[in-house]
This record gives sequence, C-alpha cells and structure tokens, in this order.
Amino acid sequence: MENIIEAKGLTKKYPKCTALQKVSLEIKRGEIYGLVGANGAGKTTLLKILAGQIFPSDGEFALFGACEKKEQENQRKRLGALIENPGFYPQMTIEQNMEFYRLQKGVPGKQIVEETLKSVGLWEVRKKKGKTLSLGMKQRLGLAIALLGEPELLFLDEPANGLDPAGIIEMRNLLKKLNREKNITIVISSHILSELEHLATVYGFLDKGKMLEQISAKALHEKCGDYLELKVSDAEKYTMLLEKQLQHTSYLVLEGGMVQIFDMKFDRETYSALAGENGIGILAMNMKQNSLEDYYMNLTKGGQLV
Amino acid sequence: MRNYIKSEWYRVTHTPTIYVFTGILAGLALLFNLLLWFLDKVDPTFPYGTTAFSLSNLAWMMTMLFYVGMILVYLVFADDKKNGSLKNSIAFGISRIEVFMGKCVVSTLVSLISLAVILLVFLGSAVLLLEPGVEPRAVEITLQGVACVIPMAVASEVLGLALCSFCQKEVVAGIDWYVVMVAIPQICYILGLKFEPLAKIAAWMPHNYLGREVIANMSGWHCLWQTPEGVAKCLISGFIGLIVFLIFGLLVSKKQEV
Repeated sequence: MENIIEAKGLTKKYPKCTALQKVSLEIKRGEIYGLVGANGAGKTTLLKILAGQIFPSDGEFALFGACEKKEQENQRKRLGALIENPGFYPQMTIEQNMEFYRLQKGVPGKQIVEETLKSVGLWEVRKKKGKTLSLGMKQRLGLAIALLGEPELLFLDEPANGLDPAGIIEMRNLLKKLNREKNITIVISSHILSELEHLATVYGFLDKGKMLEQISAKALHEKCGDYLELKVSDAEKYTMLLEKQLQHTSYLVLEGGMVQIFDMKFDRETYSALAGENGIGILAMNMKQNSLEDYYMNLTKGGQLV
Repeated sequence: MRNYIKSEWYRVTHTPTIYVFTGILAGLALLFNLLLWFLDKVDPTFPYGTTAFSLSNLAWMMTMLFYVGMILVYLVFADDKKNGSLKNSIAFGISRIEVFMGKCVVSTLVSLISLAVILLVFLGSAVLLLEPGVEPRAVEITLQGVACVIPMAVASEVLGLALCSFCQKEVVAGIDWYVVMVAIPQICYILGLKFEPLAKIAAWMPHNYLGREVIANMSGWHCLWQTPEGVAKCLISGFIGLIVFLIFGLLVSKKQEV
C-alpha cells in the first residue's frame, strides 16, 4: 500500500521545551492511524507540523510523496484538518462559514455544503451564528469544515472533545463510513484511549515527544488479549512450575504475589491445579483483558509484557 | 490565490462589520455637515457654514485616512489568528504568501469602496447643504488630495496586515503601527531640526509632509498636492512605502507559525 505520510526524525524545539523528539512514522493509504498520548505528549505538535501550521526544527517528511515545501502546499489541498480548536468566524452562521471554506478550497457546487452539514447533523441549525454554538456544535462544525470537498487525508486532533455520547458514536460511525466507502486515510489523536480502540487500525504511541511504538490494531489485539490473573502464596515457585511443567513463558509477575498469564495454552483449571498439586495457595483468580490503556501505561512506564 | 480572495470577499461582505464601520463614518460626516448647516441657519453670521470649511477638516487631516485604514484592518482582518481560521487555510494548502497577498487585495478593495461611500456622503452633503466659502475649488482639491494619499493609505493598511500576522497580540500590532507611521516620522522631524540630512528624509515621511505642508483654513487653501512636485512627493513616497511594507509583510508571513 502507498505511504501517504512518511516522516523521519521530526523534532520541534521551543525556547523552553522540546515538544517532539526525532519522531518517525509511516501512514499508509486507507489506514485509521490513532495517535495515542497523554496531554503534552506531542500529538498536536506532530499534526500541526504535518498540516504545515508550524515548522519542524529538524527532520523531514513526505506528504503524498512530496518533500518540498511548495509541493507539500499543493498536496495539502487533498487534506482536511481539525487541529486544536475548530477554526471558524463567530459572527457568521454555520452555513456562511461552510460557504467561506468551500470558496477557499475551490470546491465546486453549493450542494456540497448541505450534504456535509447533513452528515454531521448541523443542517437543521445552519442559520445559527458561530458565536452561539455549544462546544459540541463547534466541534461538529470543525469536523464539517475538515470534511468539505471529500479530502483524501484527514487530521483530527481530539475530535470527540465536547461531544455528547451520542455525538461521539455518530462521529465514529461517520469516520468509519468515510474510511470504508471512500478509503479516506484518517490520522486521529486522542487521550481518551477507549475512543480510539473503536476506530484505529494502526496505533502510534507518543510520550514526552517521543514515538514509543507503532503497532497495527491486529497485532495490538493479540498482545492485549485475554489473560489470567492469579494471586498465589508463592509467586516465585509458581512461575518456576509454570515454565517447567507447562512450558509457559508468557507471564508477568507483579507485586503481592500477583501473576498474569498471557497466551493461555490450557484451561483455567490446569493453571489452578498446578498450584494446588504443588502446595501453593491460590488467593484469587480472574480472567482479565488488557485494554489499550493498560498497554499504553505499560509502555510509558517502561514496562513490557513478557 | 483567486479562491482565497473570493472567500475573503465573501466573508467581508457577509459580516456586518464593514457596513457598520462605513455607516458610522458616513453618518458622522453627514452629521458634521448637518450641524454646520443648522448653525448657519440659526445664526446667519456664523462664518463656518461653508463647503470650504467643512472639507478643510479633511484636507489638513489627510493622515486620518491612515488611521481609518488601520482600524478597518484591525476590525476585519486581525482576528483570523485568534479564531483559528488562518490555521485552517494553511492546512488546506493555501500558502502564507497567498494569505497575506489575498488579504492585501481584499482589504484594499473594501477600504476603497468604503472610502468612496464616505466621501460621497461627506462631499455630497457639504455641497448640497452649505455655501461654497473661501475656496470654490474645495471639492476638487480635496478629491485630488485623497487620490494622492491613497497609495500611502494602502501602504499603511499593508503594514497593518503585516504587523497583525507578525505580532502575537493585536494590541502590539497597533502600537507597532503607530510607532512606524507616527512616532518615527515625528522623531525624525525633531532630530532633523538639528541634523540636516535627517530633515530631508523626514520631509518625505507622509506624517510630516501631510501635517506641515498643507494649509486649509478660513484664510485660504495651500495644499502640497496642488503643485506637480507635491503630487510627485505624495505618490513616490506612497509607492515606496507600499513596496517596503509589502516586502516586510511577505518576509514575516513566510515564517509565521499558526
């Protein structure tokens, strides 16, 4: 698949901090790339560099294969963006703001404004002025502006901010539909990881300006699969038996006699019997699932799944 | 750039700001002439109820056009950084240079139309309501003066736009504009009283020549632009200012982060 974005060593330094440190990434056509990171991790900075709003201090990137600044400006006509706060004129109505950006993007046909506003649920309130909109409506308008003219690439920075639960689901479905039906590549950032779990096909984990890992949703799902958590009286002895008798090496020992067993090859009873037959007490036993949040927390703590 | 200009034109014509701005200034101009007319009617000895007196207020304050232009820039174009529309334009592939030049074009067009309306109301009401006064060619001289000052007024707007994109805060842009357009010429003039070469430079600064080489009062009119040399001075300095401020604007907007 064609790489839509290829970045190498992107760095952004400000006088008092380094927001991005040698970030490299590849985004292929048709992917929904979830940028995961806490506040201040560098998600917005990365998106702003890719959108041309700020300049990198070091490093380079190709957008639709274009590396030169002028070429990149031309290629940006193929993208839509909602970065930080939605940008619009508060004294104009929703419809006027859309018309303003339609003219600016050179999108032919006024009906596109109606179609786009309908897709984000703002058509009925199109006569409302920007300054009177609720946070959720502003976010929808920002999304509508980004979607004008059917871009091939979308940059969405925390798009669920201010949306109610129904709005979040609507937005998610809309983005999935656009990705599925029109093969639009989406780069979406969020610190609400559960939101990305429903959407992303590839993840990039950012922390303190560094790209910790890029992983496909499939690979992540395998890594994050179900696991068995046991609290035993002697964790050291139990894990030794686990390796010797069951040839099981995929586990993690936590504090307080807690053992997490991944990639289970046997049923729960086998693991419980292993303890019972060897005089190890089982104080608790639960089936659990590693969430994206757990995975991210492990990564940022420098922890790793065994 | 054509698309950007179209969109800016659409925005400016679909928001009330420019209409309110033009309406207020035209209203004030009309009110001024109505007041003179009224005073003339109630007191026949009132000496100022004349077209010449009314228009002299514009003739000797042509620098007012610079301030009006800057206010217009401030009201109509300065907030796109704050409301985030500029970052959208950049993300949609419009270059910073296109944004700056597009704004210059729209701002010039809009201000010229606004100026035409205000002048029409001001000159029209003065001619219709008031007696000619000491200078029967007042309308002609005033229009000639406006025409001579337009290049510098546009330059002043371009400077305003450049500073708005350069400065993080609009207030700072306003202060910087004042420094360039008013404070520096004033300082140069004062220093020129002591240092001859500086006096020659100061004499080419619009704030100085429009303030010191224009006399329009009840005794008569002697305006700089009534001579070919004066017209040349106004136009040359105006176009030089326009080029300098355009280059400055292009340089700063190229490096602007949004």
